Amino acid sequence: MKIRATLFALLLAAAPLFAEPAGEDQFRTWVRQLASDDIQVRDAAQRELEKLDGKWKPELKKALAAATDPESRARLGSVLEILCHPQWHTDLDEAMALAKSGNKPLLVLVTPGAPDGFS
Amino acid sequence: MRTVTFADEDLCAWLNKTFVLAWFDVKPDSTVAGLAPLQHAYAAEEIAAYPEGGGGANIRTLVCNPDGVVRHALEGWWPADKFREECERGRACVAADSLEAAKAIRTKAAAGLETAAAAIEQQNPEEMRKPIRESKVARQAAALRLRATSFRIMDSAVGQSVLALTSEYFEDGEGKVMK
Repeated sequence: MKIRATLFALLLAAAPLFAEPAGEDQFRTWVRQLASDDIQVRDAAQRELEKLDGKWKPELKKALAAATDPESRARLGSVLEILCHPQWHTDLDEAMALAKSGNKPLLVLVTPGAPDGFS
Repeated sequence: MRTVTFADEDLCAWLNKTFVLAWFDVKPDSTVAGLAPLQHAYAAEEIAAYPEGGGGANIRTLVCNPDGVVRHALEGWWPADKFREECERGRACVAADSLEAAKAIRTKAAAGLETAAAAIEQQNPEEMRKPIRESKVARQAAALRLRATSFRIMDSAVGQSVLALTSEYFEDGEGKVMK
């Protein structure tokens, strides 16, 4: 009984590792949720879309073209920006704080000029 | 890097997911007029001919652990595929158990690059006799050696705090070789 309970707990803990990647239905749900009345739902949906990989770009572009709600359009635009262009932090202290809090490695490009070239 | 490497959308999506990205401008008060000798709009044929690893100390890539300690570093411009390879190597260095283990990854990689260059040179003696601009094979070998060299040039950066390192660059401001 104890062994079964332990195995069950282990399986539950491992469940995220075996989770299916996002499918079409889930994608459409997240896109729909960008227009939710609840800001937490909108924020959560955007965060999920931001985790998608590059193969979803065509679908995101289609969703953006079809969106009529201004907030959905703004949020989809932001998601596409993240998928298509590097999101450079120009404040190194801020970048370091984000890396530490997110336990993510930090990549620093050191060069003359700003990310968008010289003014 | 701006117009070629970071125009690759797949690379950019992967970089955004994998790292916190920071851009450190060593000449923050610069204008086009002031930096005319350094920066101009490259024509398409110039971009195509630009050597891998070119740019030297003008472009440095530092991969740091979440605490801001440099674990992998190299110089120069790299196309998207090579840049991704180095970023992957940077991840491996960050994940390594110790700084020494990270250094060992770099040392082994540099040796591997030099071995690959030597193999190309040995297998293509006729190509190696041509001027480099006339031989794609010679350029390939040169790029491998340059990549290995760029690791060695940046060896002293590994283990340093990225804040301390970049403050030295900022004071120097000339993009010269690190102290």
